[in-house]
Amino acid sequence: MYCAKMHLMPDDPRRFLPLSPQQFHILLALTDGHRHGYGIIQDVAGRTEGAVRLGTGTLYTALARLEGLGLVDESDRRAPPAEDDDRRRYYRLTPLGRAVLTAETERLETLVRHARKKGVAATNRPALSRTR
Amino acid sequence: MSPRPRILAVAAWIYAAALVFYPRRLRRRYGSEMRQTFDARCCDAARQGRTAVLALLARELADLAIASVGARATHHHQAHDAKYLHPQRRSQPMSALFQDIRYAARMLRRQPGFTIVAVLTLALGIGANTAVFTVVNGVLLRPLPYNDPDRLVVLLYGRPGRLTPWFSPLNYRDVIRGTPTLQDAAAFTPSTANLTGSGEPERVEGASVSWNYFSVLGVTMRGGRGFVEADSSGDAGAVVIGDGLWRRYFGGRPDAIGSTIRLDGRPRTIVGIAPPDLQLPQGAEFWKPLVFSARDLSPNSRGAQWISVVARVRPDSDVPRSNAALQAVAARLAAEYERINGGTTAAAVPLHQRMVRNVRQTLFVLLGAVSLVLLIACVNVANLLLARAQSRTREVAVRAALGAGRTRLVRQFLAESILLGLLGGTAGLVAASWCTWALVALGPASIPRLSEVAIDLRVLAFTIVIAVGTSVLFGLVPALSASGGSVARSIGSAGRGAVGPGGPYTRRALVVCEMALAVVLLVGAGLLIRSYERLQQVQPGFDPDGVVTFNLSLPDAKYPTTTEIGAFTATLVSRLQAEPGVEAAAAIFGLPFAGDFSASTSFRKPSQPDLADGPSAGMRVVTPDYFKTMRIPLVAGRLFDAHDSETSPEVVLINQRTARRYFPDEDPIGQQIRVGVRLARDARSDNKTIVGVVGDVKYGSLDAETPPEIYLPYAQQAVDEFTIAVRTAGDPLTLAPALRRNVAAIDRELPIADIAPMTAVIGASVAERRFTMLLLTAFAAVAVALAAIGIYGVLAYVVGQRTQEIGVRLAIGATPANVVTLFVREGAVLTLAGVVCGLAGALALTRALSTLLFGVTTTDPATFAAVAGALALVALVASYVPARRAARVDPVTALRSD
Repeated sequence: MYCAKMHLMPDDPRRFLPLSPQQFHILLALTDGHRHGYGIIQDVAGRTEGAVRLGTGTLYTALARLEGLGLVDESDRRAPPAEDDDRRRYYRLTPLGRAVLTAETERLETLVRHARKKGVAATNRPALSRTR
Repeated sequence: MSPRPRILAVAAWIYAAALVFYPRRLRRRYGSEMRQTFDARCCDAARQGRTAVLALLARELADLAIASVGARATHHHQAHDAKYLHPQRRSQPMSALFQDIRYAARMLRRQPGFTIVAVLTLALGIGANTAVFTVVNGVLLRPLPYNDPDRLVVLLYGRPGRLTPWFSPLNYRDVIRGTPTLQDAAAFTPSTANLTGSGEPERVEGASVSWNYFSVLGVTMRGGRGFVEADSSGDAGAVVIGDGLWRRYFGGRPDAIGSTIRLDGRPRTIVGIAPPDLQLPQGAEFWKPLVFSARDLSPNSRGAQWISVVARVRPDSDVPRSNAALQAVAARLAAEYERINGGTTAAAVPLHQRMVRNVRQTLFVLLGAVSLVLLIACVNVANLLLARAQSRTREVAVRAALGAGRTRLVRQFLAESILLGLLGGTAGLVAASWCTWALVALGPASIPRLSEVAIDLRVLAFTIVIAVGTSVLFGLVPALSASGGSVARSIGSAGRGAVGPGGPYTRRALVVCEMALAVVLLVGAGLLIRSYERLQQVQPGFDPDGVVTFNLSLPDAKYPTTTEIGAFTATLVSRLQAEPGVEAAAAIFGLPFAGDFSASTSFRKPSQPDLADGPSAGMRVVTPDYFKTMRIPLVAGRLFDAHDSETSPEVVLINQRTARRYFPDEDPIGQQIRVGVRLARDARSDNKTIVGVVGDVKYGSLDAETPPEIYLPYAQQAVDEFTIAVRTAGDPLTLAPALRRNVAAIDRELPIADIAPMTAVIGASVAERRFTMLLLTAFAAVAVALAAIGIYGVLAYVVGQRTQEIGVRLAIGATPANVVTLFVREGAVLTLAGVVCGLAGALALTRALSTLLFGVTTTDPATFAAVAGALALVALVASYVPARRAARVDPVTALRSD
């Protein structure tokens, strides 16, 4: 898998794949716009109905990595001053980040398609990242 | 903003502190944001209660730990894989910390001899500390097993400076009524009873208690219930039995509740079973309702003080305020009843404090002593590590040359120390559980709550803390020394003879410290041993060899009046005197050294007014042959004889102390006195004539002063609870079957208790002293052994370092004796330094022992000299062995080895 990426262009989003589940959820949380740290945690918890709970340490380690890779950066827009807190930073997706997210979704869909063709179907158990 | 609840602030603080472990660059960028996010999450969780907040904190700390490890790992890989953009974490992150630990484990495994010695030494030190701390924890630190135990107090009464826990029923009632800060109070008094029914009759200790006793204490009953008010009416025969009695008699069956037992011939229904840790009074196995008779509550009985009081302070008040209230009400009573209560005051003392007041100091002395042993063990392990570090200088130099920073190297060595510490701690914990079991089994009965002692969470935390603490302590110096030093020098030379931190000077300094600590312990042990010896030499005033004693308690039901009691006792004593092998026999109320016994009375000459602070003396009631049985000399006048009976004029004997103190310029014989207290039920209370003076006897303990005593003849004050003493020529215990037989012949249902030779009774009175002395001696012995090993180790090392030099010396003409002298002198210098420092330290520290000593001062020169001499001898022998080995070195091989 890893050797196969040697042929990709430097800017090709597929170089960043596969994403870990935490990274995927964080990027997903930022698709609607900018969010601060706790907002991302709440969004993920809400979307997965509590199945994925990000710890603060895990979140910021992942955010550091994503920022280092250029998929996420700090946003200038802030919430109205009444609800704001000076220590908060708001994050948003970069265009590269959005592209990587799309690429990852395509990759996952491809995998699911292959599985379905072979007759492997999803059971009724709630999966780890089921969207509403 | 509303003030934040405390738990949120505490959680925030803990999280902020834990962030220290997060990688620094991440912390700088995200630290405050993480704290803010954590705060927000806490606030949300707080809506669901405190447990939710604590659960969140635990989860977040765990998450932080995992993220820290992962962050470091990906940082390593990020630099390496930048080209390949490999964003995944490895499944098994190997951070530096794990590496260090695995490496340390490997190094320790490779040298099993060293590891075993080090772990055993640490296990010894840590185990001993944990064992002593377990006892300290169980007795002094753990709260009493009652509901809200900090509110429980014991009330004291008496003259200022001479407060005792004894009240009379009337004073008790008045004091309680006048102190509104007390929510509730219960009275109790120790009592013994004969338990009859199935099998052998048994004498059991217990207490009579007021009906609210269990609710005041807040006891959770093991089964059944406590008392209710209805139980204290005279006819009801309720009883609560203790856990031990329940198991012994009923095999722990639940149907014990509702069954009947016979106490003193009277049937009582068991209404409840007390938990095993209810130890008030100590050793009680049953509790029956306390009923005050009309006579107990009559105005004449205000001076008869025989009940104790335990009370609970109201939630909205506290002990100091209760003290103030008690003083006020006592002053009122003193004024109202001048004659009886004059000059008295009252106070409240927390129950726990009162229970442990006698043993606190002993336990802390033992804890201090055992920490010294741990320090010595640490020094030994440090020396071992230093020696080992010397042999690894090459490895260290190579690693340093390859780029390991000093911090990393120090951390590596510290990891080894901490691993050793944890291993030693684990082994020590196992050793401690045995030692604790031994301490509880062999400990003197005078230590309260000893049966509750067990290893709990606080003890485990203590063990972990001292294991890690001592590892850092003994590991730091070797770690610093091993990682320092010039790289080139270490690689270039043969690796020997490296001087510098961790060189021989450090090791020598450590050994001197060791010996100093051992001297301190030896001095302490020596002082205690001499005290004990001095105590054994104290003359008790009678001859205990050949005397056997046992206790009897005659139940009301069968022996209602003094006639029956007197008849029983007279028959028994004469039967025993007729027994072959018996030289003399007597009955006594108030045997010497028999524990907490104290009956005392005021007395005055008939012409003097009855003052509250008049003379007082201890009271004993004896049959005529008592003085012959105990071989107490008669100093003047006559002893009791058969003529002193119920109907003849009342007589007393006094001891020399009473004579000297209260009749200094006159002959006491023939004088009359009035005695304030009546011990027997129908005793007369007329003027009594002093007919004789007998020798002083130590009654309470060997180290206390002889109190003034008054003896009353048994025939005139027949008490129903007493001791029989029998003198025989041979071994006193061989009489035991004869004793039982004679008692059973008169009354089959009467159990006899506590058959013991008089020497054992005296021995029991010094049991605590003996225990402390033995423990401290054991610690000192271990300390000396470790110090001897230490000095042997250092000298062996020095010899090893200087083998070449020895070879040169021998080659140019030194004799083996010269070489031996050379090294023995080194050892002697170290010993001298150690002993001098140790004696100086001992001079300062033995002050802590002052209350435990008897007959010796804290700076007793003989003890100090003996200790110095003993340790010097041991050290010299320990130095001699490696010195001899040095002398046997073959010069040729020594010169050749390079």
